[in-house]
Amino acid sequence: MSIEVLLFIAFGGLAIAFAVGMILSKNAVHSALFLIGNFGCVAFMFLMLNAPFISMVQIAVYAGAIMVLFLFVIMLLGAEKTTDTTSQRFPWLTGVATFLTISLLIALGLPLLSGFTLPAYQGADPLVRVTNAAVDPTLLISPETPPTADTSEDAEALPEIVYGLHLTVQISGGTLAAPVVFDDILFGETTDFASLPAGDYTVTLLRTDTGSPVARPLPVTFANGQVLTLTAFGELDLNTSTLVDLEIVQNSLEAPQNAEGRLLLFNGYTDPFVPLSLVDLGGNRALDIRTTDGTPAIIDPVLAEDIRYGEAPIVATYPKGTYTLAIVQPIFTISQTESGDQRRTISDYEIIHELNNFTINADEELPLLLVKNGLQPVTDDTAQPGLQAAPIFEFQSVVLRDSAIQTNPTFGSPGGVGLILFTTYLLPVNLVGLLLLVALIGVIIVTRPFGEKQQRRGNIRRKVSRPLVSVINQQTGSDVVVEQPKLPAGEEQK
Amino acid sequence: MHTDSYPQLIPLVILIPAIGAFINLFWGKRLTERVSGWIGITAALLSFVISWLIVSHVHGAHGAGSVVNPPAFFDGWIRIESIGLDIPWQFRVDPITSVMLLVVTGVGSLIHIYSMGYMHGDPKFSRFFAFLNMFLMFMLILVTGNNFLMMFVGWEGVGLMSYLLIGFNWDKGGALGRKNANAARKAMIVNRVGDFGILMSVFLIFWTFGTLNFYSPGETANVCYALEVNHLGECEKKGEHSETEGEGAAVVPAEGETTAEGEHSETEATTAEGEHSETTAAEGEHGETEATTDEHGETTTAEGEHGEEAEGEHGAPVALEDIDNSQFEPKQLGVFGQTKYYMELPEGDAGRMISFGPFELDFGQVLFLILIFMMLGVAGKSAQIPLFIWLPDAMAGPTPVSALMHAATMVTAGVFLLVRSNVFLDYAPEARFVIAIIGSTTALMAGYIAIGQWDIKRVLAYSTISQLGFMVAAVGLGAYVAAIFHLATHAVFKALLFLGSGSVIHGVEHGHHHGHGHGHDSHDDHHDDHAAHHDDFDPQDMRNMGGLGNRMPLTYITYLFGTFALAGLPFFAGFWSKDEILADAWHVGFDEGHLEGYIVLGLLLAAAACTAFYMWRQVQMVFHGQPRSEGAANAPESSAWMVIPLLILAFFSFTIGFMNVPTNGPFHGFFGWKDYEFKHFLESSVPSLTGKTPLEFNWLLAIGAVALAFAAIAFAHSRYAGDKALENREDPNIANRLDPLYANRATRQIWSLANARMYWDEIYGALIEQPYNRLADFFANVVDWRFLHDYFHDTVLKKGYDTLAGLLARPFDLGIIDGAVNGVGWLIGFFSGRMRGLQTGYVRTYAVVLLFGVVVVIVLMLLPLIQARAGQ
Amino acid sequence: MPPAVPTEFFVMLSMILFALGAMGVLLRKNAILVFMSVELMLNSANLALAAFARQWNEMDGHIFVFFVMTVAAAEVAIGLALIVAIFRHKQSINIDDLHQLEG
Repeated sequence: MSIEVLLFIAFGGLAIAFAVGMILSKNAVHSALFLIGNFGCVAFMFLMLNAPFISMVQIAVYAGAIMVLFLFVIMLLGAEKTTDTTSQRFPWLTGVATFLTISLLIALGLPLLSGFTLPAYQGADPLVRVTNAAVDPTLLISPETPPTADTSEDAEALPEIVYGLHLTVQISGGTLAAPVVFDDILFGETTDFASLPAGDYTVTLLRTDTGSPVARPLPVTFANGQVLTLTAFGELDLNTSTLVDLEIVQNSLEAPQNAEGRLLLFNGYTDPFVPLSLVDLGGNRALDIRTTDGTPAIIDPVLAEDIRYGEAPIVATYPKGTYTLAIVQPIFTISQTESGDQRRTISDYEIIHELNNFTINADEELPLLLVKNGLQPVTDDTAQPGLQAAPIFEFQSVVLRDSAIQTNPTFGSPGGVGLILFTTYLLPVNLVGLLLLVALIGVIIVTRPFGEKQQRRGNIRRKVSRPLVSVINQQTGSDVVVEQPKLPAGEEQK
Repeated sequence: MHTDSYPQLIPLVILIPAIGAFINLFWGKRLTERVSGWIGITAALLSFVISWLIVSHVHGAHGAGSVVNPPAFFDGWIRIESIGLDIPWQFRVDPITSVMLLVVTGVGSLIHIYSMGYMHGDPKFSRFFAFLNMFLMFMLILVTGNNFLMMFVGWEGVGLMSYLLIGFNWDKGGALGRKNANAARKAMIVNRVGDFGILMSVFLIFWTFGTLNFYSPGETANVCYALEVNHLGECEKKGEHSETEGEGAAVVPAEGETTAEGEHSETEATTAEGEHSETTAAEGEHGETEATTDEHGETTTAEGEHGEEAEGEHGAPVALEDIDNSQFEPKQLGVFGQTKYYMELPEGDAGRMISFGPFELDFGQVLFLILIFMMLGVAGKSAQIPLFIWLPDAMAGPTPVSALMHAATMVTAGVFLLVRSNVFLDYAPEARFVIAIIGSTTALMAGYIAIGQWDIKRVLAYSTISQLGFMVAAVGLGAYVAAIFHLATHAVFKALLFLGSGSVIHGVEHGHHHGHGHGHDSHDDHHDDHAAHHDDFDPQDMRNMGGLGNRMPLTYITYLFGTFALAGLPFFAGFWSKDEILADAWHVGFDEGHLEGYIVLGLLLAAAACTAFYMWRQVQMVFHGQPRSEGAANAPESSAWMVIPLLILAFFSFTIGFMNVPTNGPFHGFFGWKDYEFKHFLESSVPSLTGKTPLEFNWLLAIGAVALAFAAIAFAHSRYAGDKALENREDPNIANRLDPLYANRATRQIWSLANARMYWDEIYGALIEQPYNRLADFFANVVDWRFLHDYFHDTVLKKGYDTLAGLLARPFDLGIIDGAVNGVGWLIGFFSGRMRGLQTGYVRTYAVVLLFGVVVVIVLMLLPLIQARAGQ
Repeated sequence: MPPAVPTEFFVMLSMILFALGAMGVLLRKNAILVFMSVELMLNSANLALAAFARQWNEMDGHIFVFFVMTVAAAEVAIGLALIVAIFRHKQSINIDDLHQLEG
């Protein structure tokens, strides 16, 4: 028996005891105090149920405000000693009430006591989307139109000439009657999420123009609660006409803690042996490298390192804010060891892409895809045959800010409750507010003293004013004409 | 000067009086007399100025007519697309409209000014001006509309205004007020008879032509004339009208001939067209296209213009196809264009047959019917036999109203309508014959009756009927120019006479009040207390006048001008216009040998003699001799507001006749006006004028007519001169003051018949009114009251209903229905009485029951679950 | 991973508290105490809602708890005002003294 169960039993028993005390105590004040205790125990139960906001409201509003009101009225009316005993009008009621209550308990509790268990929560249906980051190298070899360099400072702009493929992705299998098709996804485009029932599926990637498959069908399993991004990346193999890879990126809807944003770093770019790092350049916007014993080390804050080609993305959390980030790759020096093996040592780091004014938001998961894409013709003369235009590389994720996933707020948190209140339940909230207003007015009207007294008081004042005028007139000898206040007809008769 | 856009102003001509009327109607009570008067006068004058601009354009454009769309607001007035009915609110600006515009707004403005003086002090002053302005508005709608329906709107509008203004003094109280109100009703009812005719004719026109438009936008009314003035060659079909006329009148030729003729004319037309196009190429530079584009982008005017000032100024030549209407299908033309098309079809052609459901009529017959119905309406509005009887009674209205509506403008609407329909008339000689006879008979009859009248305004009213008869007769003879010419001149001098008589009446009434020395200043409210101080004195009765020439010199002189003009003394306006009608009658009779020419000539000559006679009688009775009453003795000259319009009108009643001087007559070239200026001006609206040589001045007839007039005046002078004007003129009872003709035994019967107005009212009373009243009485008392009410309703229906209701009420309603309802109520009461014990009022019992319910519901809900558990 | 304390436990606790509240409503004659018992019942319902919210991982349950609390606050305000008014009128808050709505 775990500590939680023990706590539950302890506080549950206490709650029941307080409730019984409330019912049985002769003094209304004692009853109220018992009830406060009961409310406190229930608030603890709320805490155990992952509902901290409700718990606090329970303490503050229920145990606090409302019970104060009760106590106040009790003391105001002097009703602490109840008059229960004076009249025994319905002696049969005690028995009937007890019987009914017990039968209610039995009716409700029998299923539970007889071993009935609530079905377990399976999680939501899996959500799937597709990102196209696949490059067609044939276009790099013989560009039909010379690519224009994107000279603008705006790092988020997608280059105008994109050597990408148009992909169509089919997901078939499972319990689907017809395959789910994501049609004609452009390079750099991320589709919306599609909700599928959990199960085993086959993912097929097709070129939109020719309709021929560009990768082998990939069997996948989607489980409940999963949020997945199918990322097509790499180059189209010229010989087999297949894509190099399709990576299934697991996203998470869970909110990162401490107002941090979450970055999902995926490397679809470098050759498999060069791991990349994501570095915060800070204000000086230059890479700060210190070298000790010939091995350079990065001093700037490193968000993630060792991001390897084609592997599952590295998750990095970083406080929300706007930064200048850089993708950095190591430069290796190859040296011969005595044994004749080649040995690679890191001799330097270079920035391969800089992300200016990069904003990290809290409650957001931002997938960053580092993929290959040609932007401008090669300028260096070490052009290799077959790849005439050395590609310049661009982060697809930088372009696709809207593909960031809004994470769910924490269950039961004030933020979560408030968000729902102000979105889905805005109208009911307003109605409840209106109800409170009506209650307010209702209280005033119900407890208002009967009207006669006030009216009488008003009349008294008027009666005084009449002789006063005549007195002034007499004393001053003037003819101060003051309009006589008109009395209601009934008043004149008195 | 570019005047092309002037016709676009025509909506303003109507809008301005409408605004004036609006202001005076709704705020008149708060405005002072002067302000509301000025509003009315300003509206009329502005309207006149704009009309003048428009007419100057039309004149400059050689009478080229145009159709003007008003700005947007009225676009598509009545449109029912499913049946192809489309009656737009469009204006027609052409010479006939122009003449009417000038007459209506010109005379109207003067009468507005006159009213400022005449109505001074009237409590309903602003209302009077509102009505006058509204009358102007409707009259202008009448004359400017481009379709029969707009014409009819104006027609009914002026009728309404006539009704309202005749009965303007309905509140006089006593017999006088009743008399005024009855006069208004009489006018209204008599005109309804005429309006039935107009409506029938409009329906027939729509049925026949499928449109009510006079002319389509861009259509040329008179192609031959337009060709001529644009130097596009002569119209080769010259004289075809007379041929067609001849055909209609003569025996119908054999069919073979007709076909041959038709073919012939077609061939001719083709040749002519070919020539025209050549001519266009050769002479194109002389003409110019005048295309006025209105706001809707439609071309409204496409008629040519030539002339000294236009030549060379604009280079664009007039294209032949723009004016020969060849761009239109026959059915797209206005009614007049279509008439020409129909009549040019050979007789017996299937296209000429108009289907009326069960039967078909030839187009010519339909045209005859249209015109006869139209003539019925004209007889109503223009006071012709048999519907003229309302006009003498209409003199109950204030004198400016009589002058404006019942002499100068409204009553001429019928003549205007007939002249507007001149194309119809050209092709319907039988209808014209009827019209000519009606017109000339009316002229003589009314002239004769006028001799025997005592009331100064009644004399003028019959005179108006008589002169309208002249115009209608002229229309019947085909002398449209003469009719319109006489319309214009008559409008001027008859307005002058009426205003003069108003001035006289005003003066006598004043003098009467002054002479009786009422204690207060009766000047301001004499209209008011006329009823209060009503004595037997009638300021309109000529027996109470005499010698006013000395008291009111300006009125006297201007009145003489009007008298001479009306009598047709040489070189006054009436001389020219009346003589032209007579000359036309002469022409039709002696030159063309038509019967109606002789008849009309004879009747009109006699009527002209009557005219001179009764006018001179009136002048003598009113202005000469000794005053025969206090009122006449003390009458003051009228105020400047009234005299100035008189002077202006007197000037024009002398000069206006010179605008249509015949070629060889005296004074031709006077004022620099060309001979037959008026005829040329009208020509583009009246196709039958083209190709006819204008009549020469008929010296014989002119001298004869003038001699006749002088003879009549001389005869009248011998009877009425000075104090001879009345026998027993000192007799205090004016009924004993006798006309010399009556006193003379030889002429007593003649005069009595005239004095009794030839018993028209009595005849109508016996023939129509009394049978009608008896019939109405029968329907009301016997059929409606005794039969329907007393017997049918009270006996049959009521009893039957009571019986049925009794049956339904007792056994059925009370027994079954009430029983059922009460039974249900009793049942509910019974059970609820048993159930009320459950309502203890104690909360705790309710709570227990509630809890019980909760338990039951939960058990029921969980029952499947519990059963499943138990099953395991 | 199943939660440490099963949801069923909380539901059972909620049931028991509800039953106790119902007993209080039925058996106590002091209007204020009746009211307090009603509050107890509302609370037990809240507890069940929160438990199921955790079970199905849906925060809508919390929202309903929130609404129930709000409505309860309004209800308490009005109810206590009524009690005060009744007490003024009758000098008693024994609900058995109130049976004017008797049929």
